[in-house]
Amino acid sequence: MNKIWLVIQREYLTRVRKRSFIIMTILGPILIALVYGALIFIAVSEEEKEHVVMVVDTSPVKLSEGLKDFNRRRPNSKLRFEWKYDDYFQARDSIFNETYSSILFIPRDPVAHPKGMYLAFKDRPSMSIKNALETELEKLIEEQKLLHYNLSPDIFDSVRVKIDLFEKRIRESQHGLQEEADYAEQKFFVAFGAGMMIYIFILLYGIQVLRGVMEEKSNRIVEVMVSSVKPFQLMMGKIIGIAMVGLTQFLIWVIFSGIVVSIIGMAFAPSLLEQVEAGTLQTQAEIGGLDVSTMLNIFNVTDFSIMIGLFIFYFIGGYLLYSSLFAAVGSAIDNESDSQQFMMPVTLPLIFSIAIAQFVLKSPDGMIAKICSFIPLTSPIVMMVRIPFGVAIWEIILSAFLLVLGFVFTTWVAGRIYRIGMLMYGKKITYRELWKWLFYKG
Amino acid sequence: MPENILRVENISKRFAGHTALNNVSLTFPKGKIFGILGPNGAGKTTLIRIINQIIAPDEGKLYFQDQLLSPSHISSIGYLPEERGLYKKMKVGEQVLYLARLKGLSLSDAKQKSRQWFARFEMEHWWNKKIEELSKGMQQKVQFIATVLHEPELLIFDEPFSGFDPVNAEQIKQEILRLKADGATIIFSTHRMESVEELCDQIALIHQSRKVLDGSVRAIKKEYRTGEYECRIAGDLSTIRTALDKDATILNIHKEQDETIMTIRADDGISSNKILYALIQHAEVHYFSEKTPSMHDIFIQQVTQEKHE
Repeated sequence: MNKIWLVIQREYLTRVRKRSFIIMTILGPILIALVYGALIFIAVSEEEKEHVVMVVDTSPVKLSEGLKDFNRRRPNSKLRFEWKYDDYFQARDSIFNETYSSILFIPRDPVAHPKGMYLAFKDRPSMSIKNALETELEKLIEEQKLLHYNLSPDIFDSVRVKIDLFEKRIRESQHGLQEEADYAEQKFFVAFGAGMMIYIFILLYGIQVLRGVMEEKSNRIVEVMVSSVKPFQLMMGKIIGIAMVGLTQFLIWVIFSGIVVSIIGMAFAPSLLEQVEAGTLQTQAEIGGLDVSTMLNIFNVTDFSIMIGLFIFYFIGGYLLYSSLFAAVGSAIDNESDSQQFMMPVTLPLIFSIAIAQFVLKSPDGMIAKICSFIPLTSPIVMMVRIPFGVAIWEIILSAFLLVLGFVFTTWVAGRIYRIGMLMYGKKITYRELWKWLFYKG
Repeated sequence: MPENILRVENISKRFAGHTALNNVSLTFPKGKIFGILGPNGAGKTTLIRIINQIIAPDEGKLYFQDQLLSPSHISSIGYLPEERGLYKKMKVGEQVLYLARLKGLSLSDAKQKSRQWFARFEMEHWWNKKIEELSKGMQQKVQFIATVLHEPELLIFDEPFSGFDPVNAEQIKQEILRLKADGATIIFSTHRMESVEELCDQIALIHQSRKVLDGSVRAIKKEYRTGEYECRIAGDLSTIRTALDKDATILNIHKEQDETIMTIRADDGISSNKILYALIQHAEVHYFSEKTPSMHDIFIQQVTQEKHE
């Protein structure tokens, strides 16, 4: 045990002290923050430009009154309307001599034929300007139509209904039936996020294990090592050491990006707020509306801690399962070019599980989802995707049990292959041979 | 104190399709240098890996100081494999400490002992260098130190002198002899028999997974002596011929300037003194030496003999 600890220490320290680790660990969050910051910066600075629309209104209903009202109501908006010409061609002729960016033509009967309206521009309006303009016109024409049918806008508002069905789950408990709110959409994010994180971690650090094993083999250090430690100890030490490197990096990233993002957020917050107010940033604000406080509301506290616990379990279980297979592959091959042949069967189930995750999201209790959440190769990702939607206790216990069984089995298999493969040089390995290695003595 | 440090009894090991070791038994006397000799692929490395508990035998048992060999003996063995390397990105000092601690040394012991060895080889300034910055010869010295640092009772060197330049090889040879003088038992394994012949007290020849011969070098050479002598003399040839005629046969004779070089074989029961006496009476003897067979010759002889049997 003492020896395995020494191996873990070495694997951890040599990696953590590497220049590339330090650079990536610092640069990673800075890069993320830069991208995030750049996006905000672009969003903010791009909207700075004012877009002046020359309105040519030929209708008797005079939509222009409504647009004038817009100018008054929203003095801060980047969208502004002006009036000067009664004829489209006059307006067009002087567009390059004057400051307005585009011409909005309103035909004689825009209420009956709203498609007769068009916007001719010299500077393309941004998406949000266009959205704001369209929203405003829709509103005005709606008002006209209401007038036409003699309906007051108040009645119209009360007629309009938007349905967002509230979902709740019914559970059986000792105290009888219980109901709890179910936030499917938000859970969707949590579920997919958790599955994705496990996938990325396994792939990223599983390949590090493969590399590490190959390095030991090609450096010819391995025979010296196995005369002091059992091959299994060496393999497990490496797997655990690299997992700790990964966790360290993740932790630093989470903390760092949290700090940096909040600093940037604070710096840009005032101008962002202004824009949300101005209505030009509405859409972005809606997308980003899933904040931490609502996230916590989705799950009650016990559920949340159980979820975190299960996440850690599947995270570690999945990593152990796959990285031991990666170690076995690394020990069996001599050079990088051979690695593809043996990597495929290991990475395939991993890619498969993230691919079917979307189907699992659609029907978390479906047949495929259930089967895949029991198979140890797919369960770390698939079960993690299912859990936020609620999974029966017995299913979790069975799946967890099978996963433990699975990684005990794969580490055993990997250990058998590893101890033989590590000392095998200059020989192309076949699957038949790998199979035989499992039954060698010692 | 047991006389033997290691006993190997009826070891067999089979791999898919071939037998690497076939019923091999060996006894390694304490405090001696033991050579395991044989051509490539004979099974030497398999035997050594079994002694190091890297692989397990299919049949047979091993005893270390009369105890069944177990993982607790790992710290009593130092092993320098043929396929030897180091972690390229690691610093020399750290690497040596790591390997020593894996053999059971405490950090402070490992530090103190490695400082001593580094001083002995005048390589203190390598301590903070990365392995990849060292030349191959320097790396070999680091490997040697890592092998002997924990002061094991049994040292095993597989092809020890391959890759060393003559100067370093000599230095390592001297260090090995010093370790032997300090009481360590040493096992060499090599296919280049001439490279260790002079160092070994005892040898075993392995051929095609079987032990074909073992014993002390002196006894083996005595057993395989041919009774042939090489001599360089100056004198009248015909008188010498008649003088030798009743005791020996001249196998080969040629003249080099005023010196005659001969290979002669003594008849059964004739001592070297008797031949020398006959020579001295009729010629001036410049050189007289028994032609001892080299291990290589003995090996060839043994192997061809077996084929005929």
